[in-house]
Amino acid sequence: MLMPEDRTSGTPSVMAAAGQTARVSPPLERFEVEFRRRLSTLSRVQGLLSRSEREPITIGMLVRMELDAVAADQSGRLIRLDGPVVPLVPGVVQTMALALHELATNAVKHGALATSGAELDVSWRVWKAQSGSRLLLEWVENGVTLAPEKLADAPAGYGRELIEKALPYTLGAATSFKLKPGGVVCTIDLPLAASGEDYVA
Amino acid sequence: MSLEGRRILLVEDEYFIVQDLARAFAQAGAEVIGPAATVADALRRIAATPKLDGAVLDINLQGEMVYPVADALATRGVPFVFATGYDRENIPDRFSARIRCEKPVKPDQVARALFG
Repeated sequence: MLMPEDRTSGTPSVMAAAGQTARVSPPLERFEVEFRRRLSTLSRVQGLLSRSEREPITIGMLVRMELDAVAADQSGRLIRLDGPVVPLVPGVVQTMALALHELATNAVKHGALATSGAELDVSWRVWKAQSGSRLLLEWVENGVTLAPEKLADAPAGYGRELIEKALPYTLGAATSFKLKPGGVVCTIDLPLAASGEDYVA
Repeated sequence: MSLEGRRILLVEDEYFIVQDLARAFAQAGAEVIGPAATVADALRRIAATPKLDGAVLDINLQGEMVYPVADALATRGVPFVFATGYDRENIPDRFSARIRCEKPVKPDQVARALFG
């Protein structure tokens, strides 16, 4: 279902610069890794956007792209994706891709993609609010056994702030991110068009 | 050239950038209005703020251009600067005399541009 993807396209000079800038001390080393993977997401998004006039970018494409990027080997793991074809306006693509990337990265480090027998369900649907059409995406991990100390402190920092603060601010989304006993449950409820416009499938 | 007590509207769609921006302006003594991430939100805040001393406007707000906000400020005679990124946006001619500040925008730069 998921194909490995070429991650070398995009902005190699920026990535090289980021690599050269970071010195080899532990915090910076980690900074470099994190910075590089976010840049990779941005360069994948640029690739999509460059083709978006011919082929509209859909939420399904973004979900698959970010899962592809972290999950080269999915044998024995169960990922279910379910939702209609929903085109996204270019303005939301980058921030949504970064959010999905944080979820996927967290899943591959600590969650459903790091645990044998665990499951990941990503589903989305369009619903009609008074203010216009919205996209509701649910990311649900099951069967992840989280150690109590993991529950207490992970995942914090950038990814969580991106989902809980940046998505509401930048995209007008309503979001929730919860660490449940079975794993992460995250919902992102996003307006599909600027207020006043309507979404046409 | 001080921002002390000045009410400055910040319009910027990137959350992480605007966090730093708002902090820097608050530290410089400004009273931050907003921040606003969209044209509609910025226009609402302009209408709701009788005394406004200046504004910093990011140009591209998730694909939406900030120019209606610039027009509203110009109509009220509120000075503003554009914050520009690496992509040099084509700013309409009516704003050609307005000052552009390279991101990351610094409060003292804005203070000089608006009140210097």
